[in-house]
Amino acid sequence: MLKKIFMRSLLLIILLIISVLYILPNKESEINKLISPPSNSFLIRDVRIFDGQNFIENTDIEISEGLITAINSDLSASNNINIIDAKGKTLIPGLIDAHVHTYGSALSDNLRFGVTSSLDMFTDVNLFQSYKSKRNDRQSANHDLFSAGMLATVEGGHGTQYGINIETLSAPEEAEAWVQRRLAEGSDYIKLVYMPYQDKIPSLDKVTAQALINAAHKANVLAVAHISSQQGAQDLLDIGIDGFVHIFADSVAQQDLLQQMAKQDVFVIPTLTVIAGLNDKLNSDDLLEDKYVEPYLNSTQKSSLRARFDLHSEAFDYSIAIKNIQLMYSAGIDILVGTDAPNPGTSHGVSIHQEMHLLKLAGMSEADVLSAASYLPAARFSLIDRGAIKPGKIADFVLLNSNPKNNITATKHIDSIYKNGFKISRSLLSNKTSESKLDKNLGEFVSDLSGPNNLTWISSADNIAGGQSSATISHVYKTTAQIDGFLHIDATIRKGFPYPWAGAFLGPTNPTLGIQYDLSDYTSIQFDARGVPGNYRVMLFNSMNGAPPTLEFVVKDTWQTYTFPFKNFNGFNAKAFSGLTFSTAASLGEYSFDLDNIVLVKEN
Amino acid sequence: MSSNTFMNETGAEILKSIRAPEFILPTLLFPVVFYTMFAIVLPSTPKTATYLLASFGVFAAMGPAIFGFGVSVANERERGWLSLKRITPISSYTYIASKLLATIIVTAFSLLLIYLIAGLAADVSLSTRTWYFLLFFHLACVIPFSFIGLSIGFYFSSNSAIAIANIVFLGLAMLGGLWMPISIFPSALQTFAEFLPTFHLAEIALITIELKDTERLFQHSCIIFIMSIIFALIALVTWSKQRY
Repeated sequence: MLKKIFMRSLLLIILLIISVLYILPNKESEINKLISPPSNSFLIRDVRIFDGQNFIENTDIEISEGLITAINSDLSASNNINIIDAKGKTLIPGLIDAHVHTYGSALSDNLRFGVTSSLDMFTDVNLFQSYKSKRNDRQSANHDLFSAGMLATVEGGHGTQYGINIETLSAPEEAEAWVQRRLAEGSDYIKLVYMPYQDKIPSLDKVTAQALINAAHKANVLAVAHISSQQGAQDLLDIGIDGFVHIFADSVAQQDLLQQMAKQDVFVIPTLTVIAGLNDKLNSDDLLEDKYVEPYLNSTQKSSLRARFDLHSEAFDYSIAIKNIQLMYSAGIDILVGTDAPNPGTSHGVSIHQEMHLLKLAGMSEADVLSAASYLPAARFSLIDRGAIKPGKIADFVLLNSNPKNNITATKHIDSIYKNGFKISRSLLSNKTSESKLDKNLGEFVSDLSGPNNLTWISSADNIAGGQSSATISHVYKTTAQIDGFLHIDATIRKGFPYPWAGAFLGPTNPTLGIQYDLSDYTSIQFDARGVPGNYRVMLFNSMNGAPPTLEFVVKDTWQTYTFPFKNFNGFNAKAFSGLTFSTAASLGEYSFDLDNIVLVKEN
Repeated sequence: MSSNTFMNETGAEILKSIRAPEFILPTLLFPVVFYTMFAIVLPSTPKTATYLLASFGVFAAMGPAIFGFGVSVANERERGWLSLKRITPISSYTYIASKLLATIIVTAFSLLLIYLIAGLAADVSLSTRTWYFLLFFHLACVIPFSFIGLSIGFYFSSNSAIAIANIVFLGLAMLGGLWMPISIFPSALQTFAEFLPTFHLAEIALITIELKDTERLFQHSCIIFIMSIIFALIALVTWSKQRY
């Protein structure tokens, strides 16, 4: 009997070992999952569809190589095609944000929240061009960017404060050639800034605005405008503008103007989120504490959502904005969803859900809000291949777990996001692929300001992000023998930005491209510094948005060596280094300091 | 040693574990509970959970080996069972070997439970080959610990054996870095860990799952081999000097 017990327990444990080790997750199956090529052909069964205008209950949809090929109940699946059972779920078109400024990780941030295309209203031209070339690739899962490129404004006018190179206009005669240059650069439409009825900053005049609009129309592209007053809107209406990229909110819209807007079929992108932010009426906690949202926010998105304007604009009154939306909505004027991200209080992708919610609260129906974030922007900007879930359109859509028909906040309950039929990973980790290794000598400054890997040290201050601080940097030789030098920085911190900085930056010449380097071979950064005694800061960047991980150090008037382990930079990911800034501390004033021998080191 | 008596003897040991589970169950469940706490309840990533799986597997092999051998041998000796055994036809080696095998079988249950928690709740993922290697290695850990257990059981009275086994058990676990990596210890304790079998076993387990470099594999293996021989010799000496 005892022998039997032994044999049985031995048999039992061997069987248990085999079965347990069989069900345990193993790497081979994960690797297999990875190497099987992702497919953009599949079938979704039993799904509710919002096609851009109407809801269709309980139907099937077939996607073939990134295109929607059929929508019908009881579609038959061809062989080997993946079938997704979506009973109870709702499929809405990939969202289109009609007012963004592309920057940093905007494209992946947008995708993670279901925004598959965006209409940029002014960004760095080089950046736009690098993305535009990918727009026609239907066999990859890139966010599609459309852009005005450079905006039309005057010297010192709105738009010039961001530090991005702008060709300003000074006479109407320049308009036609200016528009031609934009189109040659690849601009999809023309954006102009028209705000003459205020005395703070200069603006384009009506004649130049007219010349710009005419030139755009001659070239068959839209002309849209940033306005800040009803009077400005009226002027542009009279000269044939196609759309407004903000709602005017200085006064309640006049009946005549509403009628004229409706008659001329002009659209409006209210950007309520930003106007709410300007009026201290923006609640970011709704997003930051939402369990459907928070896990997909990266740190720069969070800080951008928490940020606030430190100015108030009387031109944008929130309650007037709401009133005007209601008036325009009932006058049948097209209202499009746009966020103006990444302005303070907003962030790419995530903010579109808040904008839709605010428009619903302003009185629009759920179906109209959804349409305003899909069908309408596509129709108004002639994006004929998207904005709707219909056969022939590209397979950009969002599968929701809840029904948005009577609850617009359901757009946040995302099951999955598809771009060109490819499922988007919502993981924050997956898009942190590091490009390459960085040489350890970040700054020797022997004879110039060059850095490693063809990078160069440049001056950097918050004036590039809308602040007032400034910095200049130069290379200075230590002795007249000119054998070795150092980096000299003059910096002035002025009021006007939530987290002011002024100093020197090392990173890609076009920081918005977001090239990342792998520093995991090193543990710390080391440098020599001296200067006007006081507090200074070193910041390491993973992306180019928001406040980066920062450490403060005290500078004396003689050279000191400082070593800071990466781990002391809260939240810094050494595998995805994208830039480095030395700055004065945040307190106002003028500073100068010198840096030398900036190296990456490995410490045990 | 006939295989028949060996199998009967092992069967008896297993039957004892089943009939008197209060003795073996705590040593089996203790590591499972601990692993769950460190790898699941406390904040951790799949990587820390994998790391802890390697060391807690060694921990799981240690409990039954030290207690199952240490305390039970002391008990059986004091109650005269060993004297009785000596006048049966069963050889003393059969007695030891069957106890060892029974302990390995029982330990396997505990290990499988930890693996299940690691794989299903803590997202630990290894290649199938590595899972088998790791299990084989963890089960083999029972052998050196059994020698330690035997020495305690043969040398101390049953009452003191419990206390000594506890001290040895907890001391080896903690100082050998089974609960937390010794890299966070002060350097004196880190040096001390080099003298403990648990440290080297955990290191080999970590090498098995590719969380440590193979650089010191040979060194760890040699040290463990030598330590096992020393423990076996101590067990033999205490055995020959035991009072029946």
